[in-house]
Amino acid sequence: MRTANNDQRSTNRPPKWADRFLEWYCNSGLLEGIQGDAYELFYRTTKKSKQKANLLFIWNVIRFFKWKNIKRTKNKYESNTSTAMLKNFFKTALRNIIKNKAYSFINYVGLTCGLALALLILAYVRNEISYDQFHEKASRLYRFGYTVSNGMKIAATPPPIAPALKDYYPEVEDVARVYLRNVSISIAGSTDAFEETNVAFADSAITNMFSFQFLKGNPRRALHDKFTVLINEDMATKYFGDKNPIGESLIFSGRQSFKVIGVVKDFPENSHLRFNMLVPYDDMFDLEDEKTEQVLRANFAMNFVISHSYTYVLLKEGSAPEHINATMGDFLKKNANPNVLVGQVFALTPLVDLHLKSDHQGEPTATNSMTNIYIFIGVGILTLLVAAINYINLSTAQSFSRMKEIGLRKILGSGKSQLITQFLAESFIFCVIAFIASYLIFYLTLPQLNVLTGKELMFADVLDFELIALSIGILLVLTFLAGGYPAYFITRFESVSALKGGDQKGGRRQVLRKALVVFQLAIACMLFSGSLLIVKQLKFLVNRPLGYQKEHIINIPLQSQNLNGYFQQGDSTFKSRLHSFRDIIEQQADVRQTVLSSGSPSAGVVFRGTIPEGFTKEDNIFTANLAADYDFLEAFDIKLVAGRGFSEEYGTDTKEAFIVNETAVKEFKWETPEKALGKEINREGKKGKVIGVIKDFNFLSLTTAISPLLLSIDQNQFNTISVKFENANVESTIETVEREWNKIFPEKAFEFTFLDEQINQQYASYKNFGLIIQTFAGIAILIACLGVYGLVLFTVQRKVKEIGVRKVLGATVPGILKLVYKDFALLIVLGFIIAVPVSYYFINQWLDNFVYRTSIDFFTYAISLVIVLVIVSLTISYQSIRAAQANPVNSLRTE
Amino acid sequence: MKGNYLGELEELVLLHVGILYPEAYGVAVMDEIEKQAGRSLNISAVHSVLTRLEDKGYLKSKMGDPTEERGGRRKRIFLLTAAGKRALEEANELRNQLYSQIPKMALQFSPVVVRC
Repeated sequence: MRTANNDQRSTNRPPKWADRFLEWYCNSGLLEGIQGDAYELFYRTTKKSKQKANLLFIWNVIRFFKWKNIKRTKNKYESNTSTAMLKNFFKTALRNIIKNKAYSFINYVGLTCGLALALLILAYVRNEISYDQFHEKASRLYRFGYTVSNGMKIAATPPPIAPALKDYYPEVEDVARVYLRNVSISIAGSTDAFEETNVAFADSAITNMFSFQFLKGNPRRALHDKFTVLINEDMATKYFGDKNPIGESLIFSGRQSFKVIGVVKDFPENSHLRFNMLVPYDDMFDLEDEKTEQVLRANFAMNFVISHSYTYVLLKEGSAPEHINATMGDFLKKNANPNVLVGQVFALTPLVDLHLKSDHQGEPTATNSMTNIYIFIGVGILTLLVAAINYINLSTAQSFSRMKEIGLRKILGSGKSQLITQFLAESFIFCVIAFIASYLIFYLTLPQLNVLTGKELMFADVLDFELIALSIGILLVLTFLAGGYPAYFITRFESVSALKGGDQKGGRRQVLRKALVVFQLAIACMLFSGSLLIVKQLKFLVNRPLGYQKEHIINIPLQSQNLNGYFQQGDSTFKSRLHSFRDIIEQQADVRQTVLSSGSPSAGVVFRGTIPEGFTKEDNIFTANLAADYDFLEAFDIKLVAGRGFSEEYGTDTKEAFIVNETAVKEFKWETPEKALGKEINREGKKGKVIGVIKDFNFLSLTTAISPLLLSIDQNQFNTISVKFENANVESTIETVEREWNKIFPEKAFEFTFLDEQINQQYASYKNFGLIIQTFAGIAILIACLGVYGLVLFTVQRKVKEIGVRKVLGATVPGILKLVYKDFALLIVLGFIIAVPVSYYFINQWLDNFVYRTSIDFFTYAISLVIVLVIVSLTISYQSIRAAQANPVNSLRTE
Repeated sequence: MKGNYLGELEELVLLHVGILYPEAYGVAVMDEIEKQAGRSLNISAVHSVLTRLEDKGYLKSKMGDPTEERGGRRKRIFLLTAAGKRALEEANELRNQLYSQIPKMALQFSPVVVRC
């Protein structure tokens, strides 16, 4: 250790720069000996001549500048002060950890869980915000969405706008449409058809816009030639096994053969668009029968109304979408009949925003919202805070018992900075161990997270430079937060009072520590009540009566799911084949009835231009439409309010009968259901009268409000057959149905879904969200409880003597328990009082996302208060009861 | 470690470290060499020989007490090791042995009387 320089020599020193240079280059282990010798010679010569001494010193410094003396990292002399001290710190840190097993355990479990949770959330959030970033041109890619007159935003746009865009807007580099549908696919020579989802019919420009990875085949001809198909790896394995698929054929819809010209990697999981196959856009018509194809092609070029394909736009470098958004009105006026455009607004959304910020209906994959992301980040930060507070509190509390050690260290000459270093070093060691453990837990629980979120996160992929850098950042912040406070706090004591056992009163410290506990408990209460309310809302959605029967019904799609069904003309044999299929099914013992529709409730509706009586074409009203067969109302148990249902007896119902719901009566200002009967409706040329009014039912998912609905018998739009069973035990019957289906409709693979499952599926993402939040909240509460437990442990230990004296003087066990409980009960209540308004605010915001929302009630908060109270009391009890029951002789004897 | 060969300067320094026991450090060795052998060396040369000898295992070092004339820095005190002692002995022995083998005649540099 260097002692202070002598003052009398300060006037007479060797040249500073040379000295510094020496210190800079010289190996730290050799420096002291070398520098000392140089100084010695310098002072010796100074007596004769100062100038000479200076020159000699400089000369010596230069002569010492040899490779051997120059800094090198490793040195055998290194083992002096600094590392020795660090070694000592490490030793004391380990001793402390071992000595206070309970504290250490609590600290480790708390911090490790908190960190692991934070890592999981980080992995999830980073994946969510990385959507579609993998495209090389991602920053220039946009997608059109449009708002229709009733305010609904739709992700798919009418198809004819795409080809005209490039000529009209110079800043558009490329435009491509993608039309996604299901197709029944078989291999040549086989009758087994598979229903494939995500078959993308795309303009060839898409290969220039999105980043595709070709595994086999030539990218240049991709999507150019008719009847060629690109498939992904899964499809290649499924249909061709190990065989090279290039040049092989696939039969689409039992009608058209496509040649495989390439194998392309599917977009990664964090893409808003996934595909199994890529087919030239124009080929979509060739999957239909001739009549339908003609209608489709005729309609296609002028259809500015029906949302159809996703339209992607690649802008030129340096151009912004605002100009296009502002002038789309003019563009449409030039290209389309203005009558159909009333109320329509087209706008571009950046591709990378689609996953989290889109509020459009009909996105190709499930979206998420920024609110959810913020909730996750919030939970992560809160949990980490709770864990950090635990550590701060426990180590400060514990540092009291280390007063003597600190005092002794001070007396032996360790400075403030050394003590602070010691605490920081201890905290650093602690955090590093916790970090390693948390990474282990992170690794082990990642698959669980994947199950909950439906993601495919791999540890190796998640663990990238950014995450490690961030981890190190968190590690350092935690080290300073958790080690800094107790260090700062303990070093302020005078050595003597520290040796005496420290200032026992210390009012302010208590306040701060209690404040931290209150904060912790507030977070726990917040998360707990929040998760209870989220669960309540989800239950509310799932259990809410929908207004129709959903049990014991299966839906079988008649065609592969696609929009063209809207124009379906149906080939001549189809109707008769369907007829015979229905007859056979209805003869089954367990089948009560079958019904045809354009989609059972919850399966989707088509919005079509409607002119109800009292309105004009200029009002441009779009109404949800459901094509339903005669016995639709009966099958789904939908109640009539006025008028009658469809009936074959009238003969004209197929041509001019409409049934509307109550909301339609209200929106069309027809006053009462009775008065609505007989009103006229013109729906895109089909004129008819209202024959009945039905009670409102949720024909879409509960995330949207009920809007006006028209039911009509449009047989050519039927695309679903629903089979209603007598009871729940239907498996064998479904097998029969499948057998019959395959006999009658060989070109279309048999698919079915249970209606109630299909409905529940709509809430799956909410359910998972609830589950995740609950898990996280549970862990946060666990950590908070650990913190409370640690503090109780500490309080009780410090009060051992007090309790002993009280017992000797005749205090009872309950009396002593009251002593400990009183403090903590107050803290919990305080924490709760803080938690309620905060959680109310956030949950209220979250619930605002829902059309049908549960109430935030007093009861939920009461329950969460009681539960947190009980959990914390249980935590407190073990230690305090043990202390209260202990023989006072033992406790008084402890020194 | 380099070979056991002990250079001339190395031997000189090693000897002086022995002489100065237990106060052999850079400057002291340098001064002593000047005094005893009359050779003026630069301090850095002394240091490099000392460290080299330490690397060879003939010397060991420890930090001594700080002194004022060194600006409060400690001296690096060098001590002979057993190997160092042996190396000196061997060198000495070798020299003596070799010296003894020189024929007496060769060493007679006293004026030779030539009788005519």
